[in-house]
Order: sequence, then C-alpha cells, then structure tokens
Amino acid sequence: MRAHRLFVLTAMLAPAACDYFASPDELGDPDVISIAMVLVAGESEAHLLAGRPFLGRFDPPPRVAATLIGPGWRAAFTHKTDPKEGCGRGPTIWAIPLVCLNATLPEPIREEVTYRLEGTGPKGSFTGETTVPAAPVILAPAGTVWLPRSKSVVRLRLPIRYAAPPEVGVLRPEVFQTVGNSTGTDSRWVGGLLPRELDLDDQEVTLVWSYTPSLRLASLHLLGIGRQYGHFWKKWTSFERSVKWPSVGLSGEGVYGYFDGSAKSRPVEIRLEDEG
Amino acid sequence: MAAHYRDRPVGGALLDVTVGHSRFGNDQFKIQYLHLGRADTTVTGDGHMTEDRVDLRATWHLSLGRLTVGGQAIRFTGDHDYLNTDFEDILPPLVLHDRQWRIGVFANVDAPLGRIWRTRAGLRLDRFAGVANTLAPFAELSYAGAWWEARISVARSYQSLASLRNEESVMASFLAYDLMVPVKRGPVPRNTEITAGWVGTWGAWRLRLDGYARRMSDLRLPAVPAEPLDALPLVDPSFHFLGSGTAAGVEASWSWAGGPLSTLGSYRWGRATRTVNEATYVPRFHREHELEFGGAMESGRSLWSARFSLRSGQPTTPILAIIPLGYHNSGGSLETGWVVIEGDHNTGRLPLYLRLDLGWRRKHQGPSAGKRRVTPFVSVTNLFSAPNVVAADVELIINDDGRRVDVYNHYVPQMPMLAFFGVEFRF
Repeated sequence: MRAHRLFVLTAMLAPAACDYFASPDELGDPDVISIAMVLVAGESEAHLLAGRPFLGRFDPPPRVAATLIGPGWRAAFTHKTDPKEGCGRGPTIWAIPLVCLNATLPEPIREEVTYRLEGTGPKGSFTGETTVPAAPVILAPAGTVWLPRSKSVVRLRLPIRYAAPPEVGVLRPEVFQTVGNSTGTDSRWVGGLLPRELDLDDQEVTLVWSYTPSLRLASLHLLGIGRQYGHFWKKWTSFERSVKWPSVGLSGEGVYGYFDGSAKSRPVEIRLEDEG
Repeated sequence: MAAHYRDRPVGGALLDVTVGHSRFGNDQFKIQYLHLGRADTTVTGDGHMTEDRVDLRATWHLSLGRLTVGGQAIRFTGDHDYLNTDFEDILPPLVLHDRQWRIGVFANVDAPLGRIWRTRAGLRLDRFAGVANTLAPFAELSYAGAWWEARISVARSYQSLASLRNEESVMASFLAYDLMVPVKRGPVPRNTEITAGWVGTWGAWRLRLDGYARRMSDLRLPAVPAEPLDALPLVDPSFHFLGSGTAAGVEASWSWAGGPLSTLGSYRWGRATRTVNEATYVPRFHREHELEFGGAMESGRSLWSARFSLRSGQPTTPILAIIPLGYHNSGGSLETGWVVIEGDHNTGRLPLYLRLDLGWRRKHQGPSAGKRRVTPFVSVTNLFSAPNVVAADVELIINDDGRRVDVYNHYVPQMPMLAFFGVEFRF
C-alpha cells in the first residue's frame, strides 16, 4: 500500500516539477528583424540598420539582403563591419545582434522623390516605400546672425520663424559649430540645444543654447524627417511604449521598423562680432 | 437574511412567500499612524450593494404536470463613494449611487411526456423600472433512461446590472470581488443560450457531459485598454460601451469511489469572445482547456488528498517586435528610444497554468479535549511554486555603463506555494 501511494504521488508531482524547472518561453520569434532606415536628401549614401530584437548580443546578426530603388536606378546594400559607422550610434547600444548595410547611390537623394526598398530577411522578402519630404524652411532670420563676443559662456536665445511641409513628421533644429583658439579649431554638433523638436503646428520658436568666446562660426538648419519615423517617435516621446503595427513604410513577414526620408533646410550662418 | 412562509390556502395550490435582504459592504480602510506611534484604521471609502426582494410563488400539481406561477419584486442598490480613496491604483475616485426596481411575473410548466420524456417551459416578464420591459422564455426537453439521463434546453435571460470590473486589467486577476450598479438606460444586457447535457452512472463511476453555446448582447464593457498592466481593475460604468460576447464549450466531469480511494475530475474546453468598439477579442480571463483531477485516500487514521490542475495559459497580447528607435540627426547622437510593436489584443498565450495541492487531515474526529473534538489538518497549495503567470511585460535593463540595453520578458506570477496548518474544533 505504501508503494502504491508513492507511485501515485510521484506520477502527480512529476509534471509539476518539470514545469517549474523548464526554461521560460522565448520573448518573441527569433527570426523577426527590426529595421531602422532614414534617407537623407543630398547624400549619396544610404544606410540600413537591421537587428534581431529577441536575441542576445552574442547571437549572429540577421542575414539581410536589400536593394534601394530610385528613379531609374537600383543600388544594392553591402555589409559594413561596424554598425556605428553610418547607422548612427543611437540604436547600436542595444544588446541585440545588429548589422549595418551601406549602399552607394548613383545620385544624391532628392526631396519629394519616392524610393522603394526590396529585400529578403530570415522569414522571407520584404518591401518598403517612402517619399522624401520637402525640406523645411527657416523664414527668419533670413541672413547671417551676428552675436556679441562675450568673455564667458553665454546662453544664446535665438528666435526663428520656420515652415515645415505637411509630409514632415519630426522637425529638429541642429547647429554645427566651430570653436577654436590660437592652437587650432574643432568642429562639432551642439548638444543641449532646446527645444529638441519643433512644433509642427507652430511657426515661431526661440532656440536656446550656450556658446563660448571660442566660438568662431556656427551653422543652424532644421532637419525634417517623414511621418513614418515620426509615428514611432511620437509614441516614444509620449511614453506609449506599446503600439500596434501601423503597416506603413515597410511590409513583409517578420519585418518591423521604419523606412523614411529626411531633408535639411538651408543653413543660417552664425558669427561673432566684437562689441563696441 | 431571509424568511420563508409556506401554506396551502385554497384550490390545492402550494403557496411560498420569501422575503429577503442581502448586503455586501465594501468599505475601504487604511492603517493610519497617529501621534505617539499609535496606529488606527480610518475609512477612506465606503460603499455597499444591497438587494431587497419579495418572492411569491403558487404551485399546482395537476394531472398533466406541475404549474408554477409567481411574482417577484427586487430592489437593488449600488452605493459606492470613493472620492477620498487612497487606492487609486485599483479604484479611481468616483461616486456612484443608483437604485433600481425589478418587478417580474413568471409561469413555468413541468410536464412528463410518457414515462421517459419530460418537458419544462416557462415565460418571464420583467419591468426594469425606468429602463425597459423584457420577455424571457425558456424550454427544456429531457430523457431519463435506465442508467443515464439527457436534456437539452434553450433560454433567454436579462440582468440589468453593470459591473465595475475591467476584466482586461491585469490587476483584476488579484481582485476577488466585483462592484455593480444598475444600468441607467436600455437596452438591458441579454443572455441567450442553448445547453445540452448527459449524465450516466455505472457502478462506482459517474460521468457527466455538458455542452453550451451562449450569446450575450448589450453588455457594458470598458474599451480595450492599451496597457493592461496599468489599467484600473474597477472603472465607472458610465465610461463603458455597449458590447457583446459569445461563449461555447463542452464540459466533462467524472467521479469514482472504491474502497479507501475516491477520485473526481473534470475537463473543460471552451471558446469565448467579447466585442466592443468593433474590436473582437478573447477575454483575458478565458482559458481554452482546463483539466482538474483530484483524489482522496483513507489510510489508517489519516485522510490524504491531492488536487491537480492543468490549464491553458491566459490570453495575452503578443509582442511582434521591438524597434530600437534611433535619434536620427546629423550628429549620430547616442540617444535612443524603443517602441514595442504589439499584435492584436489577446491573440497570444501565456505559459500554461499548473498547480498541485496536497492535504492531510485526521480522519473523522481527532483526539478529544473534554467534550470537544479536535481535528488537525495540513495543506500545501501550489507545491513547487509553479509561476502560473497572469501577465507578461517587456522589461528593458540599461547596464551599469549605460551603453547597453538588454530586453527581458518579465512574467507576473500568481500565488506561490502556501502552506496551511489548522485545527478544527467541534463542539
């Protein structure tokens, strides 16, 4: 009788024990790939970042072949060894296997022109389509801006007027500056420029950033990125982390992400002048 | 609390009168620390649901069968005041006070059709004061064989109450009760169903099979939450929408007893949907398969018992992908974001539910203490602490250096293993 009881109990306990020690389910389909790609008007190169979001950093990157199709031409993407080159460093801090693809184009990307993407991923073929937006416009200031040379760090407040075409989803101000002294110069993008994004429904804003007496020259422009990227960016900035797949820009089994275009406004030059 | 009166006044009728009152109090308290380190409880929200009812029923046993005619008056009150609640993660501040009368009359006939067939039919007319009048019929046909019985029935019913529960909220899995208020305006929530059943007894075995198909209309349902983990489990029904639901399934249950061993078990398979705002989904509480098996064995002075449950995982919204979102600018910024791409609501499945409970108790009456009898018992719930997750969430961990982001699927577990020891006194 005792053996019988033991048998019954063992048979009942075994499945529970197996379940408890079983590894948890996978987060998602390991063959799914995420794509991040934004064309830049005026550039003769295109970059495509592809990753496998449900795998660890030491897993192999996705096998992706892709071709960008422009007006009358096709340009195949080739692998780049370092995703940070060309694909930007932002997405590459993710601990997922990533690959950056690079294509040299026969002509620069043009505004208001439609481009298509064709490719194959682990789960089959995928396609994408985007129309590069027209460039935003800085209405004022119309010409070079002269700033007073100061002896210390000064917070600059620069009012601007602007206009963005309706196909723009995200509008970012960017300042590229050159600083230097008698020993040399250094050029870099200005960090801490506020606001980071401009309101698409508004037409006036005051940009704020700090500059030093070593500033020699700066160039301000607005970068307009399309609505397909803007859809996701707005979700991120509004803390909506979970979104339904909108099926815009990219389509294909197991392929998610964004394929979009961007264009820069004409630059506004900023120079220092000595007071008095 | 209820009082029942039965008499046979005139005409051979059997008269039953029941007057009842029930109350569910749902006051909320919190422990508040006072001066000098003392603590006391204070009311932060108060509420109750009450039902007052009077039932009147007359039954005639006629040669053709049994005829029952009756009337019913029910007053339901929902009174919930949580303006100053400290539990805003569960209940938003709200004040709901509604009362409704339901006046109904009904007639049922239960008539044999020969020796083995039997039929039941009835009609109920209800007036939901200020809302609508409804007519609810039902009919049943049954067959009684030598060792088995079968029946099939169709019925329609109405219930003029709206639940505050948002079943799509993960928190609802941890909330054991419901708060309800009367529906303020029509249409009245309606349930239409067809059921069929079979039950047979063969020696020590008893087997029962049931099938059902149900359609619910004019339900009051909350909109599908975008974030079930953050959604409130109780919501003011005035924010609900008209919705509908379906359910269908089969259920089998069996039992066997022989000597010191007895077992019982059941298996259920079902499908269920809810539709609100043109979105149709499987409700989060639904499990497609449910298997239960229990056994008890007497041994000496001990009574051992075990209960095993195996169920399908609950529905969850699947994660299709995670998009590492770059801060695309001309400077190649280090900043990055992420967006989780979800599939259709509740089209995925969480891991299955598995649970084993064990128990022991002293058989019959235990040792005596004077005239009292003491029966000790021990039970272990969810042996092995099977996780039995109720929700999943994507969790991103930024490493110490701030340069790497790892992605995890974080499961929200249910109850861990719990052990109980008790002593039962009988006087």
